[in-house]
Amino acid sequence: MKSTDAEYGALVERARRGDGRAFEQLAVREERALYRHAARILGAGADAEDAVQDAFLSAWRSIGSFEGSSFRAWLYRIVTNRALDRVRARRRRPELPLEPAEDEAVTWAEPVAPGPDLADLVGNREAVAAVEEALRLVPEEQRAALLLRDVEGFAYEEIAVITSVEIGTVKSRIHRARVAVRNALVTRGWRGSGG
Amino acid sequence: MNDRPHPRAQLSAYLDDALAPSERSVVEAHLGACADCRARLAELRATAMLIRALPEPRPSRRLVPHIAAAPAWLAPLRTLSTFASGVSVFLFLATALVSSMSGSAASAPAAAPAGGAATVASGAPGAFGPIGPAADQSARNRSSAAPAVGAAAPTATSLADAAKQAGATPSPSAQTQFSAASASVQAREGAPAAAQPAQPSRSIFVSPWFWLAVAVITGALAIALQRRLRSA
Repeated sequence: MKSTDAEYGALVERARRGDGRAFEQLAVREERALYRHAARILGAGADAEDAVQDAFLSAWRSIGSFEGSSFRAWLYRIVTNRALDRVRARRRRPELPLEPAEDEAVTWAEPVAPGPDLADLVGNREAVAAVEEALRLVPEEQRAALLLRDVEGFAYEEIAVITSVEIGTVKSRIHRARVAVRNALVTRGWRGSGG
Repeated sequence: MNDRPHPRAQLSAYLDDALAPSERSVVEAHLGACADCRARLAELRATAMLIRALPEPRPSRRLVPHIAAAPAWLAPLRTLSTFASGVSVFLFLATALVSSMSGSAASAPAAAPAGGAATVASGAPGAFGPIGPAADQSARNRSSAAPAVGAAAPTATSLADAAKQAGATPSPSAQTQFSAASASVQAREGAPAAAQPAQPSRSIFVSPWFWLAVAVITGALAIALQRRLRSA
């Protein structure tokens, strides 16, 4: 792992100095994960593919300006922005973000009936469909933050940099999005263990 | 403990280990006494797990652009080889015409350029293998068609050489196009009047086959370079 990191860092350094081949190698490494991220924001398909491709071209054009510590986070920043731009452009009527000031105001759905344990649902097709459906209904900024945390594994500080917001906003978005998905599952009768 | 407000808004951050130590200890203390918050925390943990375990969508095509810059000499070389190919085609036609005018009207060698071009064209796609037999076949055809068997033999040898040269080019498809085009041109213009008695003393630069081979090689090179440039 350590040699891979060193190799990665060397590729970033070469790419920064204008080595197109090094950049291509880096892009190939991140391609699938970046597409996964874009596809969960935009829906799988040509739009998400174009967003990633645009992001790579844009990243290559501005690679000289990359000075941060994490090249991967930098790529995610560009892809997330592209994907969010496309979601907003797709909507005819731009919506104002409806984020209540207080996270205490987030509604928690109550279980309708005791059902299977949520933790046992991994791989369950019905649960997968329910989670995907619930994610789609989450406002895109919140969804992007939640995906960056739960799927891509970034820390709150990194997500704040990637999405250009305060860390308090990151915390709030992740919480709202996660509770929204949890509500969708709980109203179907699933419950968490440990209660 | 239970009279304190539930720290529900902190549960996600607690789960992600993103709370300041002081906040964290408050939440921990509350969780120890509140089954309701423990249940909600467990639900959030399971939700995060389900999201992480979602099936991964895959792109249907390569998303990484080709940005590695092509070497600087590639474009000029492409232009040069395109030009060289054009010149060679011209020289091929010119030498074929000249040799047909200067030659006698003997019917046997007259068939040589056209037949040979067809040989190159048919032999090209199959690389080296079919060239030998094809050349033999054309030689046999010619010798049966013409009474001058003695004159046909050396011509067949030179044809085989030309075919071999042509076969050594890198791009079979390009070569086929070229050969086929040249062959048809040759058949239309050169063949009826073509008459080239075998003259071993002649310089290779006067041989139409030499120029045809050069045209095919440089043409294939130009196409290959163009492809490389376009993909970059």
